[in-house]
Amino acid sequence: MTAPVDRRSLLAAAAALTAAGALSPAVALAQTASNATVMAVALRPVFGDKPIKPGKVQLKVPVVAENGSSVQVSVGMDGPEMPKRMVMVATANPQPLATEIRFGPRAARAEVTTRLRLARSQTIVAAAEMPDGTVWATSADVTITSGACIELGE
Amino acid sequence: MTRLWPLPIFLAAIGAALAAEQPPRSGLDYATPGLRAMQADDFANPGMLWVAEGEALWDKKDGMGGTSCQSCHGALSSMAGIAYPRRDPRDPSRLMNLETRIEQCRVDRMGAPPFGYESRELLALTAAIRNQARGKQSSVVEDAAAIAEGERYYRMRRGAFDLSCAQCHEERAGKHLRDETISQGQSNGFPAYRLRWQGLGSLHRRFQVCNNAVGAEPSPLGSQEYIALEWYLAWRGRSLPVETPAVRQ
Amino acid sequence: MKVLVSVPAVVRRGEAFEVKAMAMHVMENGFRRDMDGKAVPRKILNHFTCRYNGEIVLDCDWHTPISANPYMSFAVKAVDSGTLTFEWIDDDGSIERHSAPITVT
Ligand code: HEC
Ligand code: HEC
Repeated sequence: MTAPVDRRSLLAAAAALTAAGALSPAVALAQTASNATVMAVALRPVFGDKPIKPGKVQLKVPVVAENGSSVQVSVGMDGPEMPKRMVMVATANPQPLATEIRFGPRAARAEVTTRLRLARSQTIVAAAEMPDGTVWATSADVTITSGACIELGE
Repeated sequence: MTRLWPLPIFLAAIGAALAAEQPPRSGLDYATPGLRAMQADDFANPGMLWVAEGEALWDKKDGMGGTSCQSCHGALSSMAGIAYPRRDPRDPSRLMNLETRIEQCRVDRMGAPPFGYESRELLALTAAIRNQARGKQSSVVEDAAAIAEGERYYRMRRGAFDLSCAQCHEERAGKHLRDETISQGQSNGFPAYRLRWQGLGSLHRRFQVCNNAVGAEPSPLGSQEYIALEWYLAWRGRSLPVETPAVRQ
Repeated sequence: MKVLVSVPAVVRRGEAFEVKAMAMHVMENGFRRDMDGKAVPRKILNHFTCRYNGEIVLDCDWHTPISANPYMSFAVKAVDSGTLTFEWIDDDGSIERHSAPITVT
């Protein structure tokens, strides 16, 4: 029973956001280059010590998600370039790596929408490894008003 | 585990807004844009996986007679106009909803074991049948006694917090409670896909959640009192189109 | 396992078209405990592939943060009439396959 007011005001905030930005309901484009350290830590298990450059990758997550068990997330690239592979990381999940995607010759764009199960509010990191070996990344924060796994009894 | 909602705060707000009779509104109207989009697209609405499974089960032969639902009933679409709950023709004191009706066909007509309430198969068949009527108003059998019994349940205060269904779903519809917006508690989207369940669930499972939330003893799934309550809800929301499978938080 | 896939019936050569794929699966992540406090073993779909006339569209590893009843949508380039095939691999080794025809004009 902690802090119901906070939760409610968050929801109110979400509703206000939706009303104001009616064109893109409660979805924020991640600011590129926000969180260099978080990205580096999140991506080390996949890319080792390769330098992580901010940019090129687009990540769309809801600012506030009503339920952590299914949060819709889209990744894509700024331009038509095709990466060798893309990864998505849910930094605060017990096993953060969510997916690694390799695009083949029949993909029209390096673009995917999927749904994540998030244990709590956290930063999502998306990265792309290009054919030249460089790794680009971006991050976005999502606030979960009730996390996955905690209330399945309901 | 039962979690009680922060009701003391909530209760303090009740009373001010004793609502006049509101026109029926679907739970969809109270849902977030993300959920609405998910429900609207059959290939993004996970509840459609259960509908697809139900469509396949409709044609699947089973039981001692080696029959399928299709063998006796023909196309699934023939179920679009049926009205449930209703009374058991063989024992009019017994109320049946769609789930218990299907189970009766399984056992009596097919000689097959019942699926069990809230089993994946029964949810799938129920959702597939209800989905045939999607977009249309569901017909309701006008049985005054059964509807009155359901309404009694609906208006009775219960549980540690002494709250009736009506106090939330009539008087507080549109208000926030914890992380949810209280809707009118309509039944037109059930069985419904609920994110928190990560699957499809029956209307009676939802009743149990609402009972638990106020510290009241839930009734068994498929029980007579829940079927009467379901009947009242069907009547209360009779002008709403069927949405099965709805997507809810 | 029930799956649902949306592929347009007819597309124009050279155009991009959207494909959506969903599978009925609990995606048990291995971190949950049951009523008796026993750990529920992990069981997820760990791999998803889409091919178009045998050529890869995309090939994904899935891990525990992928939600129950996993959903994917993505864009495919229309080349020739033929078949899109989809494949999901479960932790238990079972493989679910699905295919959908496509006509390119
Ligand atoms: C051997 C024939 C037979 C089979 C097989 C059968 N049913 Fe029935 N079903 C009936 C008959 C006869 C009735 C109506 C008479 C009654 O009330 O029992 C009925 C009634 C129903 C009704 C109510 C229809 C209405 O208009 O109120 C539903 C729903 C239904 N069945 C579903 C199913 C499903 C789902 C299956 C497969 C799991 C199935 N039935 C299999 C014979 C069958
Ligand atoms: C303390 C407030 C409260 C009480 C009392 C309560 N509910 Fe609910 N109910 C909720 C909330 C919150 C939800 C989830 C949001 C929503 O859909 O309304 C909900 C959801 C529902 C839904 C699902 C609506 C949909 O569109 O998905 C139904 C049906 C429902 N309740 C019926 C009942 C019935 C019947 C009772 C009495 C046994 C009851 N509720 C008592 C708060 C309450």
